[in-house]
Amino acid sequence: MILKNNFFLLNLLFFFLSFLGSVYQSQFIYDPFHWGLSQSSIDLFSNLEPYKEIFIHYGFFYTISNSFVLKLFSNDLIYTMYLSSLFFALGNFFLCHIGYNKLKIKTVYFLPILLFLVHPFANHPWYNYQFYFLIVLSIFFLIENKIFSLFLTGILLSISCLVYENFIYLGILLVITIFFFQKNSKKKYLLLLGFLLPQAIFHLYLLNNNLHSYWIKTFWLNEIFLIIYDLTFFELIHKYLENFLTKSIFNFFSEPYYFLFLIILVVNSYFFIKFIFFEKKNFRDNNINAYLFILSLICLFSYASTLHKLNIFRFSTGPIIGVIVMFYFVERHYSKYKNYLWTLILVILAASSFVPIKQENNRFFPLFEDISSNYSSKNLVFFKSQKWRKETWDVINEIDRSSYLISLNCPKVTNFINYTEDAFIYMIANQYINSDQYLLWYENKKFYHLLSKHFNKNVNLLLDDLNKFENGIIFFNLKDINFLRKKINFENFSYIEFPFSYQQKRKGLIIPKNCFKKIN
Amino acid sequence: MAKKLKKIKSNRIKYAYFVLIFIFLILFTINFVFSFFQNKILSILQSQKFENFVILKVESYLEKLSDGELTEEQVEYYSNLLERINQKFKPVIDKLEK
Repeated sequence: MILKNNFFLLNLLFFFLSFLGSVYQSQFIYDPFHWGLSQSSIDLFSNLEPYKEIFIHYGFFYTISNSFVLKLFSNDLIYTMYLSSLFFALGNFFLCHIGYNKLKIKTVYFLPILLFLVHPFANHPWYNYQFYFLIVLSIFFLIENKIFSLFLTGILLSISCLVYENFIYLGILLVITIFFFQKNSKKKYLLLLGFLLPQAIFHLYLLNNNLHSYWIKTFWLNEIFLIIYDLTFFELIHKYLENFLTKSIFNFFSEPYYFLFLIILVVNSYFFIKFIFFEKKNFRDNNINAYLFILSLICLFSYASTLHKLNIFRFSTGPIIGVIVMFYFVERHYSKYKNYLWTLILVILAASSFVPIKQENNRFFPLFEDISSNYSSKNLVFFKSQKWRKETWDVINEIDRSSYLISLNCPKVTNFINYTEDAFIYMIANQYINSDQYLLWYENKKFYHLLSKHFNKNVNLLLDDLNKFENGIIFFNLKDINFLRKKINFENFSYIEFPFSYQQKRKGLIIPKNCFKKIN
Repeated sequence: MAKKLKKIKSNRIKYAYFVLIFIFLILFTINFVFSFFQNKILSILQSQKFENFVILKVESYLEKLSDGELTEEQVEYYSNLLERINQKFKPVIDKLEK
């Protein structure tokens, strides 16, 4: 009992460490690519239609949950990060709880520390963290194995598929697997009902608004990455395994977490194969093994989310679930050495991860100078809780001022194009002027060309129109001026340079000459 | 005899284990200290104080450079150097003059 209470306190301690650490760290993050996607969540409560007019990158539920948070906290972006931080810390908390209290694996005592060392804080306001929490919670209710809890498992799995739409394949597979294991037919059908209910509501909404044809486009988004990397699916897998193995082995001393994920992959594959081919009958009578099989199934499939990039935050919000199977495996086969083994693993992880500088497993550890010198500016609602450098604020405020003056003095200017990777520019300008570009960022690069084409948007045509009718402005990176000179007639247009900052580099604004005169 | 051998083997494994732990603890200390100073140095490089320092230093070098007169050798050397820089950046200067 004392041990159980101690474990609860330890788990709670790391929950708060992770959550509060993420909250504190997020004040200093300047990441317009990931944070800027919040514009889709803001647009969702406007008159615009999702998928058709609003870019929904990963899933509808991810977007709408951020919409509620932003609505509640007056569009202050940091709250989307708080939400991700909460989901991540809760996901870790419940994963440890499942291992220790539900599956009775005693060495899971080490797990809260291990999870913290592998990926201490949430790094982005991204779908992965929401997805991770929902999946872990669905496993929690699955193991509860009560009539209503199976219904909740179905609902949570279904919502996971709406947070990350590509998960639908595994979601359906999981429901079929649980359906197969479950002997109580009432529970079986409640699980199915739980899964179908959110999906039905979502698809009825799409059907009602004729949005299915647009929704399906985001569903096939992954194909673009294969074209960008110029690889077939099998070449991608081959390259992924090669990179993953190389990093795991050769970066063992600098980034040992990759090696840990390699071992998790091996152990879960072993468990999965053993179950499928050799011990299916034995497993059916043993609930713990059936649950472990489901954990290994989720773990193995969620390695797919790391195909895009070998980011630790991706590993820590999917494949990490398989760590429970690894703990079980060690406890069962190496019972004598289990404590020594886990202590050694923790020491190895701490040796390279527990350092006061940003690195792969925590990409936004702030500089001491940023902690002491950065400050907040209340000028823009989106960023009022951020603590950034003076030169970063100078650029942000200048973009806001120019956009405001243009909207006030140049009625002919009705739209803007954000020809930069900085989606914050889109958000700031969008307060005063409209945009038809659909994507929140754009550059003269293959990735953006293909992504835009996929959604039937041609930014070149938008540029041509703007050049012809002189009815818009273009935010751009100053290094692209030569490219834009070929697209825009500078006899009718001028450009403004914004101040330089280390984080934003030099940005500029192309503006019709008659408007330029009015705002100067 | 077999029991004794087993005990010796077990002791050796224990020693090896603690040596390994000790090595990684040393590695942890090195990494921590190194990262701490890395953060400190980057903080200094990013600070306004350092920027002011660099500006003052550049001013001081320029002042020193403007002091005194050039020797024959220095005139020859700087002429060659500036000629080469001029050649390289001619297209840029031409574009600016337009």
